Amino acid sequence: MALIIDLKPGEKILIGSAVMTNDNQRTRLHISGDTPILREKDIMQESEATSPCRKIYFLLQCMYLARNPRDYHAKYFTLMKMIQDAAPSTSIFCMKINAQLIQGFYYKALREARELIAHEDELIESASSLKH
Amino acid sequence: MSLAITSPLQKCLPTLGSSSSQQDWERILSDFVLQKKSETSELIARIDHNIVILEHQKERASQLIAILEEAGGLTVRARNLMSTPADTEKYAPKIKEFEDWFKLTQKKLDKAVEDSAYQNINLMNGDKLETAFDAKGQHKLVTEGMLLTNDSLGIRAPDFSSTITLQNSRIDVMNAIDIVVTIRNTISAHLSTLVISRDFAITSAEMADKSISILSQSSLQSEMLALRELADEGTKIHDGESLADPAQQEILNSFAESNPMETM
Repeated sequence: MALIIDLKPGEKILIGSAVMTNDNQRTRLHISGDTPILREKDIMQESEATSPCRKIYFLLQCMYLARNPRDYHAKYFTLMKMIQDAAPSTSIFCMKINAQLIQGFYYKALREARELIAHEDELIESASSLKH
Repeated sequence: MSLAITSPLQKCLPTLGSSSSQQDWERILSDFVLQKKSETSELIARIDHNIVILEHQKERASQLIAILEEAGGLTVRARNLMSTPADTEKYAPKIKEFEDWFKLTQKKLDKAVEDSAYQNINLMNGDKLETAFDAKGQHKLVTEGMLLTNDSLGIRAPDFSSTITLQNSRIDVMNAIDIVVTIRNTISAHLSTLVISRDFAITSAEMADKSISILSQSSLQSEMLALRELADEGTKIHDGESLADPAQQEILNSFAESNPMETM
């Protein structure tokens, strides 16, 4: 089944290892095949991975793009365990991410990782407000 | 003790209300974790079982390839004795002997295909192996086998009486090797997939075990402080090195940069 993606004027999209930039009009792409696809809004640069859970997202993104995702497993597992030790409530999200990875669904794992980041943000925000 | 209930956590566990007590919170989380642990343990058992089968079937595919290579070698040896009509006549008994050996390797191939079953699965005989990733079997990896007997591979009865008919056997064997190599590559790829899945499943099971013991001790304050500390440690997590390998970093850099355009 082909994936349909609507691109805004000037929007970038990553397909495989190629970056495509849309021209100055809306475009609809029909993509079939099994290659990593990331929209501009999904891409995280390493400089934006400023918190432990954002680093998890960044590592998942690297796995998704890598020819051999196993190269990232050690870093991923180490960080995941550190996060769980620091904040046990993240375990639920970590297990949900792993459940996607078990099936090889890296893009879905990235979606779950967004929930993990939201949880982390809210934790830090709530605790800050408790302090004041 | 403050509860670390966030909106993503509530979304993830709908039974967890904002007014839930500490006890409710612990019970619901613990139920979730226990269920995940049980599912993951079953999954690990399924994956381990199928990894053993695939390893065996990969070995069998290699054996079939070895038999086919032996047959291919016989065609080469026969051809070497047929460089001239005089040689063909002179070495006719030897060439006939190679033809008979070729027939024997054909029998050996069919027997090897028949004997390749392991745990009632024989991918060399057209069976398929399914690895379900969830309890309902909605997501699964299906390894399709193929019948790899002489007939199915299109290997004709040998006729080494002339270089042309001999070449037919050679071509049949080479095509058959390509097919069996493809099957072996598929098995290898699926083995790698299952090994990776097992890595994640084992980590998940370990996390579930740990969760059960530490969830009850957590609080919003302690989690926040520990996460902050972890964030502050930042680069220590990866010794100050980039998390991304050069290949992935290059892709991400090309996304960030606006490269000059050239019309093709």
